[in-house]
Amino acid sequence: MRMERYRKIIWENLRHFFLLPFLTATGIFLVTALMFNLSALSEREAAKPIEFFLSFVGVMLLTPVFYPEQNQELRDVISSKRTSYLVVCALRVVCSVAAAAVLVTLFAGLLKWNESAVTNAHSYGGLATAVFLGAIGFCVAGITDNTTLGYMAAVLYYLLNYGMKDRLGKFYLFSMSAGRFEGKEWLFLGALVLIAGTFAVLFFRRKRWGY
Amino acid sequence: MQNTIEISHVNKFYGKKQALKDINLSIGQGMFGLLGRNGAGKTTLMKLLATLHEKQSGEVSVCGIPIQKAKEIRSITGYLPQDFSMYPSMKVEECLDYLGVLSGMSRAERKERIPVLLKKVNLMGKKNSKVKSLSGGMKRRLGIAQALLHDPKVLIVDEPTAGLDPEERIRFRNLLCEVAKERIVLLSTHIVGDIEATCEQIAIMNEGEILWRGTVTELLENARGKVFMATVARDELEKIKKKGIVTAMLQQGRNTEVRFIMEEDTNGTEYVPAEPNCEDAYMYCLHQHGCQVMGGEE
Amino acid sequence: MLFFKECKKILCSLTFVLYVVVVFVMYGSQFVPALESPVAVPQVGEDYYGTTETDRPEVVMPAAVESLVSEYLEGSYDAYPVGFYKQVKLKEKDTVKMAAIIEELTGLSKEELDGFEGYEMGGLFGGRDENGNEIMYYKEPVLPGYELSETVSYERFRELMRQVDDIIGGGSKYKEETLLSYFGTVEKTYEEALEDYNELMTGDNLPESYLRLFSDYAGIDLAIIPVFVCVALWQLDKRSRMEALVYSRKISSLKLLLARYGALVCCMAVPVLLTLLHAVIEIAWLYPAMEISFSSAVGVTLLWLLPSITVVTALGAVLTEAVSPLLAIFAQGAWWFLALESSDLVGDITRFCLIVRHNSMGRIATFETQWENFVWNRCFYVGLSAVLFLLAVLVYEWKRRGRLTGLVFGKGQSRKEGDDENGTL
Repeated sequence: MRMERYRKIIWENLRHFFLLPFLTATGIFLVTALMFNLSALSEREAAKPIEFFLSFVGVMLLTPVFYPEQNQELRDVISSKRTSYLVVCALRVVCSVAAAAVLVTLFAGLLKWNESAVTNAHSYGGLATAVFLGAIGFCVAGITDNTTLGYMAAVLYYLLNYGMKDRLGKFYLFSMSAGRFEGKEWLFLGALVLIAGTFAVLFFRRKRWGY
Repeated sequence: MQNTIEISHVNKFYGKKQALKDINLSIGQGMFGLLGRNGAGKTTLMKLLATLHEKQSGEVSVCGIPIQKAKEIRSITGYLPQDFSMYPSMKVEECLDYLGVLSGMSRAERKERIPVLLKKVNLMGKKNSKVKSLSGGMKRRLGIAQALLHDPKVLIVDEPTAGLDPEERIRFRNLLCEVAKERIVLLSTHIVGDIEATCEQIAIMNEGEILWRGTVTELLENARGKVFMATVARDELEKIKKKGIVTAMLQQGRNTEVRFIMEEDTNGTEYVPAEPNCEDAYMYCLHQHGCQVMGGEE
Repeated sequence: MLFFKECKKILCSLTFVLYVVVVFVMYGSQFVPALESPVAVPQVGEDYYGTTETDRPEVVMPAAVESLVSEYLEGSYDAYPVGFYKQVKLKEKDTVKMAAIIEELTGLSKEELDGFEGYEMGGLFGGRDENGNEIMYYKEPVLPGYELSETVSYERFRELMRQVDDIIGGGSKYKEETLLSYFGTVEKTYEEALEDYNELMTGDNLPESYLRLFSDYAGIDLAIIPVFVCVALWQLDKRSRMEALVYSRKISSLKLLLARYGALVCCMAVPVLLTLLHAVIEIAWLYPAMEISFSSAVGVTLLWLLPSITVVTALGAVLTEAVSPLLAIFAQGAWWFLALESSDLVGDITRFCLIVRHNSMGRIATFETQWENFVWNRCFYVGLSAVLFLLAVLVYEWKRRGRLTGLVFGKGQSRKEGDDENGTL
């Protein structure tokens, strides 16, 4: 019964709120795929479109998770229902991560098909990068209750990677393009902490302050 | 299962500010009105009952279920917030369907309930319109429909008539009365007329406290003999304003016809005693409990 | 005054704080390393003096022809027609033309080319050595043997390269502007390095070179981040449900938006100017013995950077006003991406690219040849800013008079007032 309900919630969310972010993400996917050379790339070259461009797929999918309920009264209505609002958001996060995984895997497949040297590390690392960047947007959008700020934070972190390079250590986004294919699990971990942390903050804030 | 809301010794703080002070209240079946100024704590109390806020101390149970069990409480309560709004680009029917899913209703239940409710709130003809195209009154009706969708035992409505035109307001009140026949309806308002027309039981809140609790008749009784009318000149009016609370004024040439509340007729027989209405009684109650009340200073 | 009130709103917003942080961090991480030590005088016997472009036919011609033959055999040509990589495959008719050009250059006929077996691509390859470490190695392509024709002059060669570029459809390696950077790049000799050094140290070249690098880096951030600050301020009225209140005031739309727009541009210019000031002081500090005049260098920097701020802000304003804040951000993001990708690091200043790049302390002559394009480009963006701003005023005026209620998210997106008082925007 619960699974049935979650399935229905996911379906309704896909129908009403997921379409626009997903189309934008697909747009980024297509632009990256069409505009860039995908054939016969070395491991490092193949990592470039994945890290530099495809990572925005995560931002497009994860940042707007809270957008439909930015209005306080609307959020109150949703929160007064039996299914917790945060559960609805968690389901959206799951959908977004899944969609990002599909797009990244598809892209890696496209590279492979074009005889580029892609490994599993590319898809795994690419998803980690996308989800981490998206998680930054998600976290800021959730905590400040302002989706615009979420996008901004993600773009800023991306820019920071242009500037600071390796000084960002384990959270450097473009490590595969620099030839390091290990250590992407830190980005996954970081994303997990950001997402879980956001949920925790929202949970306690709602309990205490009611917004 | 008992059909009451029991609130005892509830406290709630926002940081240092105390929003609810030792609230004790028992609410039974039918319409129950919460009356009070803006910022008196009505919304906080209602959100607490709708499990949107947590209390810091005290006990609350709804139909025998302790408020901590949020999920169970939510399945038996419907909530309509002050400024109801919905996803603007969803259609009316889709909205109800989605909210029904969130309430854990099965497809069959939704299929059965949605048309019934749309008919009840007279939105059947609008079921395929987008929410953003609805007028204020229609939106509010959609709000009551969504709150009733899962057939809750308890309905919590916060300021449901604020901003509606008189016709919509009467319609809305009647709708609520009808709904209240078989459940608890908790209604908050700062419009006294709403309470008068719909509620039997009321409570008056001020600064986080329950000032008064009883029936409308008792409230009126309480103010009996304290309401007067007079037609006076300007300087006399000033005197009245100093000593009592003016609840209505009408300019008549040089004189003013004035309705006011006063503990006793200090001027002997000049003032005509009047039958208190709900508004007078409410003002008197606030005054009686030492609240600063400003009347007639428009 | 309204202008200062708007400034206060901006300065108190979280978005602006983030903007300042980014400007400083990017400056600190990208440009400041260049300030660590003065440019060193080249010494005799160093291994590497950097690279330079040469126009010597004996360098350019063999390299270009080898690449052309290789690409012909590959059956596809690399090109960047609009800044993005494209693999061009030629139609039969064009292949014939291309073969004719190759025949003129090498004597290889179309039959010989098409009949050649055993072609292997050359270039830089990545792989792994025995220990599993990733290594890069260069491989010569395997091509049919040929001799460069001696009857083809360098002028004729350049002419043929223009034709090749036309056949490929533009944007190829062989195009006039990039021919030398692809095929004429050689390591500098000591003498060349010394000559470059001496040139750098004369006149205003030193401060100009430094500030060109400064502008190059700053220009990248300024082509995107102003949109966030702009959007945040612009949607403040809507989000706090102030629109109708502001609409009904006496002030003219032009005056109101001019104050707002001016405040945005001024506030956002301040942190940039602060970093510029820091850079100027540091440069003067690095070369205590020299008398450096910064006036022309600072002038160029302002011309370089301010139009970026004004145009990004204006576009953000008009899109937020007419459609939605989200669209403004997406559109600016896309534009930034295209601009960043379509411009080479050095020597590719075009008339319309939003981001002007010159990522080098040297290459002074290259910049000077593009000076006209540079001025044209920046003036174009100043003009475009004005047009977009006026458009925003027009849209605002229409909305104010109720002729337009927002194209997409005009209704139903507002929030409760008071939410933004704590400056979350």
